[in-house]
Amino acid sequence: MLLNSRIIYCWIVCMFMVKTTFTQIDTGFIRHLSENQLKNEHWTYLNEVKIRQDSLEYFKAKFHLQYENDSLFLHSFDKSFDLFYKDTSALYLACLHFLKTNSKDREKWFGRILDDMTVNQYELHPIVHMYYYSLHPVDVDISQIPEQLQKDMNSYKKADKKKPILASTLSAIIPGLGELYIGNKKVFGTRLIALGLMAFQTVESLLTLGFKHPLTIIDGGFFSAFYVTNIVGVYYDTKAKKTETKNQFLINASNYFSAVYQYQLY
Amino acid sequence: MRRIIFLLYISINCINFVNGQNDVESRLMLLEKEYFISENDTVRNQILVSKIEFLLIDNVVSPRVLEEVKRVEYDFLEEKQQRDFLWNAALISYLNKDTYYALYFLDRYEEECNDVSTEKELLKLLIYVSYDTSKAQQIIDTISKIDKDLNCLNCLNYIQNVESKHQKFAEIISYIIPGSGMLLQGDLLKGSTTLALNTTVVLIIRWMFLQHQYLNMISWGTNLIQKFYLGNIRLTQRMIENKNNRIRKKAADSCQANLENILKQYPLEFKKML
Repeated sequence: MLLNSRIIYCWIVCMFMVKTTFTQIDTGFIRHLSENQLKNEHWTYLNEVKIRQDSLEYFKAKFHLQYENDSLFLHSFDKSFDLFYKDTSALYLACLHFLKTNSKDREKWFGRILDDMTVNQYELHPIVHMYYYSLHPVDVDISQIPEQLQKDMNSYKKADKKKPILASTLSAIIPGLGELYIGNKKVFGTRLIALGLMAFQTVESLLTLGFKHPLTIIDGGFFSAFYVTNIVGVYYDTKAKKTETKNQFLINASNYFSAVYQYQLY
Repeated sequence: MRRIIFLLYISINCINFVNGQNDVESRLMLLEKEYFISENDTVRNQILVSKIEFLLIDNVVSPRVLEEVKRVEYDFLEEKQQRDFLWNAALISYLNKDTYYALYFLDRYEEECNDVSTEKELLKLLIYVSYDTSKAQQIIDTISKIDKDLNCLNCLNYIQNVESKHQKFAEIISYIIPGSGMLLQGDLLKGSTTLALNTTVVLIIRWMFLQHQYLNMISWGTNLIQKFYLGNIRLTQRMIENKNNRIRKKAADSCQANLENILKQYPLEFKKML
């Protein structure tokens, strides 16, 4: 009986010793794998190392951040947010990455960050501020934005103020005027000339050939179709311009802060 | 006491087996770890060579192997190993369609050893054929003197330069008579349709002129001519290009068979580096 208990004791000690040899993660080695972009080795190492689940997910989140797998990054981040918040460098690198990611993941990420920072009363980092400004461009005091980004912010503010319905109404009054209202001067010129020419050729055929002549019907049909397209098109152009200027502002902000802060992932 | 030692031994082995790094990825990762730990350049490069060898044994010739190849500082390898590495590196680069690296490694290989084998010339030809056809022709002429069977590799150069007959004439005539270029290329349906459409456009414009519909004439004329006349030129050019591609593909298929036969005679194989 005594012998048996000794055996069990030794076996447990042995197991413990072997187990402890797997509880260390070599951050230097991970940095090496990351710098050399050895994706497969990096992933294999993370799958074989035996550490606490949240630590493992923290390293996996950084892995997915490096290789830009947004959904897996968010999944791992959810399981390791305590550790991730302590690593400000990785946190702000993730912010920089999501600033220029034009997808729902951007809203998901910054929504989470803004909520957590507000709850914990953390001071918002300038990078997070940029996203916040992009949500409420009208309230932004332009002097709070770095000089290099002020031009983009002004363009976005300007585009954000434009109303699609007003643009469509203007285009209905004078074809292309809605485009001029949203700042597309060249499109205004071409639309006005094209629709003007169409209108004149319709009038020309109407006066010389009569209302029921096929050419008048074709001319009139084309003019009507282009006139309606011009009204509907400018409605969507206004919305697209808003999104485009917003994305441009965020991409430039990401590039600007990447150059200013030069955060390292490891 | 013996039983205790025995049981300890068994359990350690069991645990090691469970946590064993048996699969390819685990071994590669462990090799990378050895590379990371090592401070000796010779050892480090030996490890990289081991990784490449390991991947090649596993039939991996993907860009991943090429990336490993690029990490090797081959000056730290032994003379024979260096030669074998350079050969493999050139072959891996060629298989990954990285012509510049393939040429670089092959040049270094030629500098390091006086290899006059047909296999080396064959690899050189395969690399040059997509880069410099006149150089490729020189190589074909050289190796054809060694073995007359290799003369059939002229097809490699032929497929790079092959063009459909009268292609320039077809392009020029499509500017003069719309649709005729396509007819000349053998597409009766598209050619005759284009000819009919363009004739109709001319007739419509003429009718509008006679009816004093000048604005309509300018507007419809500009739009329709752009659509049908310029479209006819673009379509003819695309058709010529597609026909050239078809001819090249047909030539490439028969050339592939020739090349496969040659490669059976002179196989391009990876050399063992360890």
